Amino acid sequence: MIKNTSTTKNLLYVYNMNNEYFLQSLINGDNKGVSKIYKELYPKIRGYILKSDGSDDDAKDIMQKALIQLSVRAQDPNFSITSSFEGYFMTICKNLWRREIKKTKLRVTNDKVFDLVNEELEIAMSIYEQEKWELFREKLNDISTNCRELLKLFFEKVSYKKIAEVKNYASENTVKQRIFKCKSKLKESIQSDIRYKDLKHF
Amino acid sequence: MNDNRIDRYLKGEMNDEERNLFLKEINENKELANSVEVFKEMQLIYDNNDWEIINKKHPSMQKHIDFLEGEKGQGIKNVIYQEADNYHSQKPHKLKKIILFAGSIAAILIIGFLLLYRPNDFDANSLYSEFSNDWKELPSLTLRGSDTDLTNAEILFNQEKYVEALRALESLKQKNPVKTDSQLLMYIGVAQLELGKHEEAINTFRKLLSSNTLDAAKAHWYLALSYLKIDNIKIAEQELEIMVNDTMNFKDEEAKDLIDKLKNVQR
Repeated sequence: MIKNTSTTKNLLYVYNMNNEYFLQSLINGDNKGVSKIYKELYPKIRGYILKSDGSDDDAKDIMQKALIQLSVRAQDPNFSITSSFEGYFMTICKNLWRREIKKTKLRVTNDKVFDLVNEELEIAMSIYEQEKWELFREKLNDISTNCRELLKLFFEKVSYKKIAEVKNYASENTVKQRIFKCKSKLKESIQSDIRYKDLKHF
Repeated sequence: MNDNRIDRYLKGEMNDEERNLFLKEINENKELANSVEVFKEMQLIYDNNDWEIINKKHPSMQKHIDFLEGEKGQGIKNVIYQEADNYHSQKPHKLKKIILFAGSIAAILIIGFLLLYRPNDFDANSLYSEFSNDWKELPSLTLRGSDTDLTNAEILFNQEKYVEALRALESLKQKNPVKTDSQLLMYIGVAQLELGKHEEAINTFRKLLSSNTLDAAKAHWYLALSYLKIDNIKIAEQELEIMVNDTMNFKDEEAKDLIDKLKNVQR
């Protein structure tokens, strides 16, 4: 599943073995493996959630949801993790926490009425969202470094004027045009991906 | 230019009239709707404080739901819950450790004592029925003021109309999702348990357990009954022993009694 590496590099090999072991444990529901994941990763997840205004209960909840989510996704034989298990798992937890915060916000402001959904559907929804997010992340690599930097500034709500200064563009208008082109490129790259067609909204 | 309008829409810079017109247009123009969605997602990549929650079921989700509801999915979920439980209960305070140690000695003595007696003939499920005892210990929700929704939910519950009761209870909980209402959690958990939604019940009682309320420790009793109902005697016993050894007096006698009987079942 996880892309393997040269056996001559022992450390890396052991490291990848751990990755593979963790993932296989989730695929098969292996007690020992899941217990090891808890020991190794829970303190880190808890640290992150507490730092991000969450509670101990939130950390427990996110950890469980992330494990279930990953287990379900990993049942697909085409599923693979190209980075470390830990890094990948952390990303899932971070996104699940963003999701929880958003859910609370929506309930408080009553922007959207949420139907009561059962646990299975909730997990399936979070998988859908995570897959879409990963696709977008991946597609960012298809555009130029300059475009990535420009979009980053733009989405971080830096003003056109400031961007022109920082990136040495002649005028705000040039920045606007550039950003427009970058967004179009990214959009094109996303929409031409076969996975996007599967994830497309209804 | 559409791009510009999408930006303004996403940044919340449109006034009400403009926004309504734009929303109407999105509804009619699929291409525009698509662009809005893509730009919204782009934004999320950079905004660590936001997330796009889907509010409808997408066809691609069904295979995941089927898996989770199937035997393997249920099994894996159980393993994850169990290991979470094990991990979180492994780190008790020093005092608690001593109490647990003393408790396990007491448990060994009880086992020793039980060895002198022959077991009766019964199974875990009949024990469940015996000890759940119509849920008489649950605190009345109607004592908490004149909230008619609460009263209705409790009436449905007492009439054993658990489907309707659960629906009513969950919508009450939904009204105030941030605050943990331990009593509602108990009712919800029991209703789920009675309806055979064991996983959900266990989840609810776990929430109760980790809630920062006076009722939190009661969760061990309900977890024990839940595991008893699905014939997982080992974990049921673990939960009961935690109860007997903690400082709360809730159902201690029943817990001891049940532990004794479970030891007999296992022999």
